[in-house]
Amino acid sequence: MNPPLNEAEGTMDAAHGQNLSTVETLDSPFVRTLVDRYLSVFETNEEARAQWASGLIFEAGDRLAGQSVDRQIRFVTQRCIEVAEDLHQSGLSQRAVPREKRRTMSPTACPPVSRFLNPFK
Amino acid sequence: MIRGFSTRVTARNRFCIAVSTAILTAVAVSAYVLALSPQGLNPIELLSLPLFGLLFGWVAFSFSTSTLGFVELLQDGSVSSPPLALDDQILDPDARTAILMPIYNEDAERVFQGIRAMIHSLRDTKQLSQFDFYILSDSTDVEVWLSEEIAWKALIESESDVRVFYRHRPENKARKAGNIAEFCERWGADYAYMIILDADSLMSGKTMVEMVRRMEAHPKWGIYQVPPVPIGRLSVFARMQQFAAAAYGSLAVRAFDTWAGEEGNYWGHNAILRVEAFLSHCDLPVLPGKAPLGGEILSHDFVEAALMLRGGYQVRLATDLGGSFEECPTTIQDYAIRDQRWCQGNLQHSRLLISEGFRPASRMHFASGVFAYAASPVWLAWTALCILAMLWHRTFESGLTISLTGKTEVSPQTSSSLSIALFIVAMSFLLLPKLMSLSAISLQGKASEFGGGLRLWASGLVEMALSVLLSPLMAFYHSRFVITTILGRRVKWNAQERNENGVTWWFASRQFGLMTLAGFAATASMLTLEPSWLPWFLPIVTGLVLSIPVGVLMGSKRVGLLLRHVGLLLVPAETKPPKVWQTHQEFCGKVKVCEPTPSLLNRFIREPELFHLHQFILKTTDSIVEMSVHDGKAIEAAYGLGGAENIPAKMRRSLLLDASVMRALHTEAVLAS
Repeated sequence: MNPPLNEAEGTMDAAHGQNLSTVETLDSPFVRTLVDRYLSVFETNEEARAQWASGLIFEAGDRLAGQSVDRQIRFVTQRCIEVAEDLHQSGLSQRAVPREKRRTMSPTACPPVSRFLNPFK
Repeated sequence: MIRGFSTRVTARNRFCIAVSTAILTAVAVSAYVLALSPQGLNPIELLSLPLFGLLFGWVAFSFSTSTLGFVELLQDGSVSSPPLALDDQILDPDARTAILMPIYNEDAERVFQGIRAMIHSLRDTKQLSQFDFYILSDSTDVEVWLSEEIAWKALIESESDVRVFYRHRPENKARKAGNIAEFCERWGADYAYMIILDADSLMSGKTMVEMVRRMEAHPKWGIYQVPPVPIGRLSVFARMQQFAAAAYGSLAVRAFDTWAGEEGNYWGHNAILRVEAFLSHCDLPVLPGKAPLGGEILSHDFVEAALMLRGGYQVRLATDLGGSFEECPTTIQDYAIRDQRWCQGNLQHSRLLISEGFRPASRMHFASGVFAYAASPVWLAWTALCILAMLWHRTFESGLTISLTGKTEVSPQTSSSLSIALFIVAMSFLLLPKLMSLSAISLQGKASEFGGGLRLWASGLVEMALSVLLSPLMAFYHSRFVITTILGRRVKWNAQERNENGVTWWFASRQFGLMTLAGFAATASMLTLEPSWLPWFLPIVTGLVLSIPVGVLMGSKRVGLLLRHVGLLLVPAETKPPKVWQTHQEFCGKVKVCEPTPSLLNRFIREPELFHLHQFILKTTDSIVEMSVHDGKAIEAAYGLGGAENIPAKMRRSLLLDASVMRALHTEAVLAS
């Protein structure tokens, strides 16, 4: 279910050889590739994905200024998942179960044993 | 044309059946007493008398209803389901119908392809927009649950013009009845009707549209049951059941309808229910006392029908509608497993049988259900008493006996003739309804649907011979189930085995070893003590002695196919396959069978599309259940150490219900990828 690599080909080349432990700055090919690959399942427009990546990197840098890159990347990942959730939900919204119209079933007590039919009385 | 009995006709039929049953039973009991009388009745024979009366009464009742059903059938002119002549009348937009498929650890691909086939069939009627589908999962197996989500996604992508909803219930409360009740409480108000299906149900679009039409035309109908016909399985045992249902089903249904009329019964699936009436009257009570006879009601259908009748609605049986199918167990063992559940469920109804407020017809349905299983131990007890009585006579000669015949002299010859006559009559009462069914099919010119007249009757003989062989096995099974239920042993309600894996000799030996030994022991005892008894017990001991090879033979798909090849046990669904079933087979053949694999949980954690699909279903169906922080941390730690495979099996279900912990694992998986 991972996105096809060719959709993120440009950034993949740039991210070649990098992994989380070697990333030193938030705005890195690694982070951009991560966002691009993740969102490619839900957003086919490459430009829109790049904008999401920039936006998320900016948001993380802004909100977690001074904190470790590792933490900032984690923040980007979590936000990326949230964005994907919104995109996924909007695509499937008409398939969600209808709004509930709560009704309770009229409770039925266990009928007592008939005085006429009970063989033990 | 809808055939509807008036209350007057139903009352007349009931009177006829009651009188006929009473007379036949009285005559048989008198003959039984006379047959035993040459030496006078000893105390054991006296004990056997009420059991004989009960057993013969049961057989006489079945025979009487079948005979009346046969007469009705011939007068009516339709044996099997006539093709429906649907006009283009559009259903009222207010008559919205939810089609419910409650599932529990079933093969998801099979279930969803069935729904897809029904969607296609409904689309052909041009009334698809009137129907919404709800897949109501109670699956507890994590891998099955996730395979359902994948199958649902695939279904809604392939069928974009229909509303198919999926919800998984976090807590499997009150089993299937609770599953349906939950639907009613959450979404029932949106629908006038609901068609309840089973995981293996298939119904044609025409039939479902017609069911809605008839409910619209009869506002007092609360439940309308369309009898399902088993189809599609290949083992000898399955094909035997399929043939019996196809050949004898019409008569059985008509016979039932002659006395039940507007106070019919509900079999739990392949039926349409009026939602408002169900909400108002069919909440299941909890029975006092502990399981297995107390507590939650297990077999909910009979009780819901009784509650619906008590609420002033009618419960009707469709005697003229086809297009309703199901699958049947393929081996004796699977059949017995299902029967054990039903046995416990039906015996539980004995409490309601003597409860206040139910209609006499409902009590009759409860009693029939109870006796369907209780008859076996009664029969075994009666047989044992007969043997003991004969031993008593050998031991005590003519002493210690009581005469019930007064001064009437009964010669030993007359006694012997009466015994033989009773035996022949009882066997005839059991077999005649089958012969009536075969005659009706022949008379109506429907034999070609069974491969022709000769094959129809030959198949009937094969079915009857196999039934005789199986009867003692079933009697032993049922007796065991009744006894274990009364002793308080609970039954686990697992998903039904729907694959045709056959039966190995080793398995059959373990399964039927004791029965075989019992058969040999009984035969040897009779040969030693009284060889003249053997012919009387031959039908019983033959089945027991041959139980192992019979078990293997019954489960064999190869022999089943061979029988089909030579045109035996053919059914209309094979000679003229219904379109909805063909479509289902086609879909099942095209897709890769989605067997649950241990890797699904891992995929749902790692793969964004599956992860979000699961989160979407959890959130939109309001099914999130948060686990404790401690458990969440434990799962995260386990996942960090060894991936999804390292998460303890007992915690996986809780994990899937907790959106936050799933998200935490997914985040780790994304970062690690």
